[in-house]
Order: sequence, then structure tokens, then C-alpha cells
Amino acid sequence: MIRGFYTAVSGMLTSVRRMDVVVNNLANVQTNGYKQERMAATTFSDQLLAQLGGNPDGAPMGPIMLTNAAMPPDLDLSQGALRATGRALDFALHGPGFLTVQTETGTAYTRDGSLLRDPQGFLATATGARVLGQAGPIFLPPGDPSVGPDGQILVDGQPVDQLLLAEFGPDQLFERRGGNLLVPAGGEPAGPATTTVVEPGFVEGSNVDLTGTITTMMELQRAYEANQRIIQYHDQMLAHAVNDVARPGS
Amino acid sequence: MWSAIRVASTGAQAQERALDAAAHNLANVNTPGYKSRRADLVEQAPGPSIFTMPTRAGDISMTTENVGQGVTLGAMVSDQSNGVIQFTGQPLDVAIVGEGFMQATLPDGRAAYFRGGALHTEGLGRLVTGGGALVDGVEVPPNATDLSIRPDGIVFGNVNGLEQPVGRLQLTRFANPDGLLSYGQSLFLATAASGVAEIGDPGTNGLGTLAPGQLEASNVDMGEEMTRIIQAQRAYQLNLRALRTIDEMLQEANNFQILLTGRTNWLVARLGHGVQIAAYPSRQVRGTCR
Repeated sequence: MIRGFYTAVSGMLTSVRRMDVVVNNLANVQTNGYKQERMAATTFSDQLLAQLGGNPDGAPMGPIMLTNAAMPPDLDLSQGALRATGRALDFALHGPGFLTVQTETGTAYTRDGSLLRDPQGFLATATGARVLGQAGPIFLPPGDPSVGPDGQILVDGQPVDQLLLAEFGPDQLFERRGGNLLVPAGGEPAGPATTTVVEPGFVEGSNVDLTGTITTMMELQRAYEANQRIIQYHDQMLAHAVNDVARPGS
Repeated sequence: MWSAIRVASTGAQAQERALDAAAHNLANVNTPGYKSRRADLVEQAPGPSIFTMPTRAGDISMTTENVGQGVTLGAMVSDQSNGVIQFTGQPLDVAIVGEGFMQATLPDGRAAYFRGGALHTEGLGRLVTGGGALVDGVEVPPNATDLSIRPDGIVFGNVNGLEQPVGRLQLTRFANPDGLLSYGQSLFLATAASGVAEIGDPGTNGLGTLAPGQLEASNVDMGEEMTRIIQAQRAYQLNLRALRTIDEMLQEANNFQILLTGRTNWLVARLGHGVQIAAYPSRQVRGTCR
């Protein structure tokens, strides 16, 4: 009887957690190189019910699932749509690779190829992380920058450096660092990019699937309401048990 | 309350910035030398999300670690590509073909930079920008007439019937032109983000040359800006819709706590993952059940 409360409440809390992820995806629907997160619901491990009438050890009655929980979010690394901008320092990546950048806390990776020159003339992301080439941070001498499909950076037609593109294994886990940066969480070290192509004059948009996200949001809201309703019914049943069962004269 | 509310509002705010940038571009579609700008958004670092339900016995809350915290403005990025050069025939109209900014002095003595434009002579015969800032590098004698500008920056004037050079315009380059602060009147101020100003003669060291009698049109593409406005507007609506959904869910949560106070004057649920819900209602209240 009372167990039903817990199951319904856990359903509500799971909806809240999943809403956090969905809303964050929606907020980043226009963020360059953003990769959407997905969060699935799962059940806690089954518990064995035992019959407690007279037998202190209890005769097993079979398993029951009591609660529902949110899984850790999953990063969807699929390709975002490329948008033509024609801007000289917009480099979209096509393929599974990442740009390697230098931050105060170490190396990080990004798919956001909307770059600029920082005050010292280095190629940097919008939040100021310097982009790494084969020979460290890429310094852009004055002039017209351009980039080739293999990541070769040219200024006024003269090669300067080549972008250090990294690719990871298919099961690599990442941590988000803000500023569109990802940091690998364990796993194999980054390998050189073999199948990633740089598209100059394009930016990669967010890969948030709008229809799916809105549908999930509606679904979560309804699931939340339904669980709330279940708690209400449990409450009413409990009221009958307390007030009506074995009432004299009923 | 619930951090999702804040996350959705960061989304709406970021779209406002994108809309501002597009509107500013559209307003300057006919400003000579204007460079189109866009708002580059970046996600915020994940942090804890706290979900709180108010109850009569105080708030009960649940914390989830590592939830995305929404989006923020990363940088205003400008497109430094050249606009179309338009022929005007006015001798003091000047366009910069290539990289660089011309320098002027504001009335308060600060240096300002601009991408060429229509220059004038003021009452004392000095060369000024359209907004009245003194153009650097040219000391025009009071009796000079018929000023003309050459591609290498040398300004000639007719002094006492004699054609002679009266000064030389120089160009300034910045490592990061996106970091310049817009002062208005098509003038920019140097900032820490723009880097050190590097000065040189036009046509040298990779700097552009001057094109007298011509103006550089704004490089704003109207179709592109309209698309951005539509995208920003739709994304804004989406975030507001998320806000409404969250609001409705919180309303449900509110009903929920009133219900529990009916007969069940306890509910403590420990649901693993650090979740804890505890409600100890103090009074018997019949809830408004829908």
C-alpha cells in the first residue's frame, strides 16, 4: 500500500531531473557546436517480496520494482547542421573530430569553430581559449587568414600551422566545462583525426533535436501530473482504510 | 525553486542578445564601413540543480549534481570582410581597401578608429570625420583649399595656388578588431581585448590602401539578418514555453504537498542517489484536489 507512494514520488523526481536536461538543451538550441544531452529513466534493482504471516523468515513471493530513477545524462555527439557564414575565422568540423584548445586547467576539446584573434594575435574561441596547432597555440600574423580542408592555416597564402584535430573512440565519455568545451573523462587518449574535414566559412549549429525535445518536455509534464494523481488516489484509499474499514455499523 | 527556471530564462536572455545584434546590423545596413556582428552563445559550465517544494513545515529540496546551467553570451563576433566599394566622386570620401582603421581624436582627447567614410573640412579648414572628430596625421594650413587624398595616404592641398602635401593619413591595425568598443558615429575605441594598435603607412606591412572618392558599404546581408531574427525569435518562444511548462509542474507540486497533509501526517521517502523527501505537516488541511 504505502510502497505505491514511493514509486509515484520517485516518478515525479525523475521527471524533474529529466526536465533539467531537456530545458538546458532548449536553452542551447542556438549555441554553436553544442551537443545535446539525453537522459533516460531506469528502475532501481528489483526487490524480493516476502510473505510475513506466521513464518518469521517469510516465504518469497517474487520480485517487485519499487522506484524509478534518472540515468546519468548521455552526450549525443552526432553532427550538427552546418551554416554558411562566409566569415574568415569560422571553421566548422565535418566528421567525428574536435578542435584542441588550451585552457587554464589544461587541454580541452570543442566543436565550436567560431574563432577570433585574441588581443595577442593568437587564434582563440569566443571565451578566449587558445586553439592549438601542431606546434602549440596558433599565432596569426597580420593579414588575411584562411584554412584548408586538412586544417592547414594560411595567412595571406603563407602556411602558418595546422589545426590539431583530435578524434576519440566511440565509447569515450566527456565532462562539460562550459564555454562549449568538453574534457574527456578517462578512456583512451585522443588520437589524430583521420576522417574529420574542416569547412572554412561555416559554423556548426547545435544538434538539439527540437521536435524530440519538445515532445519529451510535454511527456515529462504529463508523467509528472499522472504520478501526482496516483499519490492522490493512494491517499484516498488510505483514507478508506483508516476511516471506513471495520467502522461499527457500516 | 527550481534551477530549470533560471536555465530557461538564460536561454531567453541569450536570444535577446542575438536579436539585439541582428537588429543593430539591420539598422546599419546603409552605414558606410559598418561590419556586421553576431552574438556567439556558449553553454555554461554544469553545476548543481536544486528542486525545492514549499511545505508548511519548511522547504523540502532535492539536489542533482552536474546539470547544465544554460547558455550565456560568449562574444560579439564581427565579420571583418570588406563591404562593396561604392564610387561617390566626392574627393574627401575615403574607403579602406584591405585591413586597417584610420585614426581620429575625439573632443576629449581620446584616440578613436574608423573604417574610412565621408570626411569634411570644418571652419578652421581642418579635416574631420562625419561626427566631427579631428582626423590624425593632417595639419591643414588655414588657407589650403582643394584637399585631395592619395591611395598611399598623402593628403594634398592647394596652398597659395601651389599644390603641396599637407599631411599623411596612416592606418592602424588591431590583433582582434572584434574587441574594439563601438563609440557611435562609426568610431571605435581601443580596449584591452582589441590588443595593441599597430600603426603604418597605407599599402605597407599588409595594411590596406585608401580609395579616395569611394565609400565602403556596410557588409550587412539583409537576408541573413532576417533569418537570424526569425531563428532568435523562435528560440526565444521555445524557452518561454519551457518556462510555462515548469510553472505548470510546480503548480502540481504545490497541490501535492497540500494533499499529504490530509490524514497522512508523515511521509519520509529515501530514494537513493542522495534524494530525500521529508514532509511533516503541522495542521490538518483538506487539500484542493483536482
